[in-house]
Amino acid sequence: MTIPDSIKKLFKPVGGAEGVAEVSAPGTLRRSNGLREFCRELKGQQGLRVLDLGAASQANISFFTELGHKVYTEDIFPVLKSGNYRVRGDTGEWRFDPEKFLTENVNYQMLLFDAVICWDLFDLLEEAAVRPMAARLHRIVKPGGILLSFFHTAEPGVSVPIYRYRIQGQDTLELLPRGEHALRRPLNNRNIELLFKEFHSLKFFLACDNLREVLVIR
Amino acid sequence: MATTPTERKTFEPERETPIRGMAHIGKSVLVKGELSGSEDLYIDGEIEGTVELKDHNLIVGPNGRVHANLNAKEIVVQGKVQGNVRATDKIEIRKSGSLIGDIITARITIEDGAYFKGSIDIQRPESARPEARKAEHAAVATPPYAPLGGEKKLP
Repeated sequence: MTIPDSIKKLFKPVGGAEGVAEVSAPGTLRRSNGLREFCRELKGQQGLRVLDLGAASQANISFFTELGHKVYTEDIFPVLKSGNYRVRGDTGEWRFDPEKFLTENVNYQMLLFDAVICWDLFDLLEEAAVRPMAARLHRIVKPGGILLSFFHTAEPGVSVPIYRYRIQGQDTLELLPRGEHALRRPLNNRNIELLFKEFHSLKFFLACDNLREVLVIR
Repeated sequence: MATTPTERKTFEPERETPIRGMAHIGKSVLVKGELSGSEDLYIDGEIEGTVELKDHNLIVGPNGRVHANLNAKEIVVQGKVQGNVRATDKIEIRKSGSLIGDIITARITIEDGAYFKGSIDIQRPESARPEARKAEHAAVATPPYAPLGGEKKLP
């Protein structure tokens, strides 16, 4: 039996998504050992400040607030997509302005976080913004605080999916596609270690879907 | 078919248009200053300042552009809001909605596609009172949340 659209409209969607089509089209479920370790680090604590640098997600917010933490959300993807930080250089070519970008984004001044989830933010960043972003994260994460970041392992130039990452459990993510992106740079383990060299330690988790997960301790 | 009151709630229609009997600020209206009231309010115009409804509901319609701190029982955002928001009961940010600011509420719903930048502090009614009073005071006393690129007030 099909339900007429006029009746469907009367139902409130489940899980925050509007429209029946979106609700009935779930993303791919994926196990995340990085997330499991991340959650293990937070275990037994309450009232922590958690920063989620992905798309605002009901699931993620509920997950952390139900554990008693305060959640901060800032989605960098639309900002990067906007092209607002391209300035014309002295020689007339367009370049990315990391200083302006970091003045207007991930700018929490003296506020410190206990935990930050970057998802695959670094893969989306322009080359000029990669190291300044790592330095910014180092500044805003408390000593002993944790950071979870994902890196695609494909070759540069290869198109990789961009996801909304929804936390479905302590070691489970739901991946919802939100576009594609040509991978800018290869970041192997050594590159990633160098990127986070100011941090205390790193732990790598390599999954079978070409997504490297890194848990970084400040 | 008989329905219980709880079931009826589930059948509540999407509130994309003003509800009859609700105060309404139309899309060509610009209000600057302090807005307070003791009835539900639907904003589809532009507001700059503060909105104080306490025990009543506020809907920012799809055309609404609000640059103000908001304080109400339940808040639904379908348009653009820039400011700190306190909803004693619930806040909903719909797919078309955008909110830049810090939220204090008991419950929150964010639809996929909604834009949100800021913090979320969940305060249940029984534990919220002292903090809520503080937040209520702050929401009225402090200027709205700085826009993108602006400097954020630290707690």
